[in-house]
Amino acid sequence: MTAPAATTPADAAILARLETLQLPVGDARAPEGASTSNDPAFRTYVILYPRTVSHIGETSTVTNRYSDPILRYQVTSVGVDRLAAKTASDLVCAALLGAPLVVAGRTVVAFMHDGSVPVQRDEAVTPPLFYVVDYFRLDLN
Amino acid sequence: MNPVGKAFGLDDLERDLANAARTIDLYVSPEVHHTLDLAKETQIERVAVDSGKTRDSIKVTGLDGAEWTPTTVNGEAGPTWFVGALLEHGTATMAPKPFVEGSLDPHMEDHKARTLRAATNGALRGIVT
Repeated sequence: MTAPAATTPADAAILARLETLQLPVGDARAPEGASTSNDPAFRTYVILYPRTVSHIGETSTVTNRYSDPILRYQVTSVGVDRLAAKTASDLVCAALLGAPLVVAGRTVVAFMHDGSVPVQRDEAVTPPLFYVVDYFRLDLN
Repeated sequence: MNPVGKAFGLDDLERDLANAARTIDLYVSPEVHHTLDLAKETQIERVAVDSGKTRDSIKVTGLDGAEWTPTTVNGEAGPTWFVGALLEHGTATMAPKPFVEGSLDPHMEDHKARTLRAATNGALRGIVT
């Protein structure tokens, strides 16, 4: 049995794909210099959050329990209004799923959209910001 | 009545299998509830410590909050307090602090074994009685 594979190449592949968006991209936090809600020139941004990792995937074998990990990701698209957040979410989905994902050293078995939280209003800031959460699932072997 | 079926005892088999199917749910239901109780405990361990109200709202129910009955075999474990969703998904200004996602994972191997055993016992009991 081998040790669980490192997940950082998968994170890097997804980050690289998001960076093709021409929007500020944050890695588990708001991007450097991200707009604040009262910025008149607010620039829509997205944040990638790696979530749970199941090192023992559904199709792993008895001889190698770590052969088929399942990684889950969240991308939060933040905009100044509903349309901006939703448009960013659409762009994220297109960028991530529009072409096969390549992860260094691993075979991508499946990479799919795995649900979303519809547009929400974050009233912790004034004026409020709008955001959409998209979940993605990456099956490797 | 199909005379061929009767000749081969298919009516009896059909009756036995129908009995078994009814009994299986009665046997499996407590095992599913037990697994969800374990997931609930995992969520309670993982939820952010400053959210006692969220922690106290974590419950096991049937699907979509339905009451649990002796034949319920599909259910859910999670918070009912709205902050739970904010913690799980994050917001525009707050990173997610997931505690529901993955809470079943540590218990699934055991769950599969227990439910298979319960289903087998239920099927046999349904056929015998």
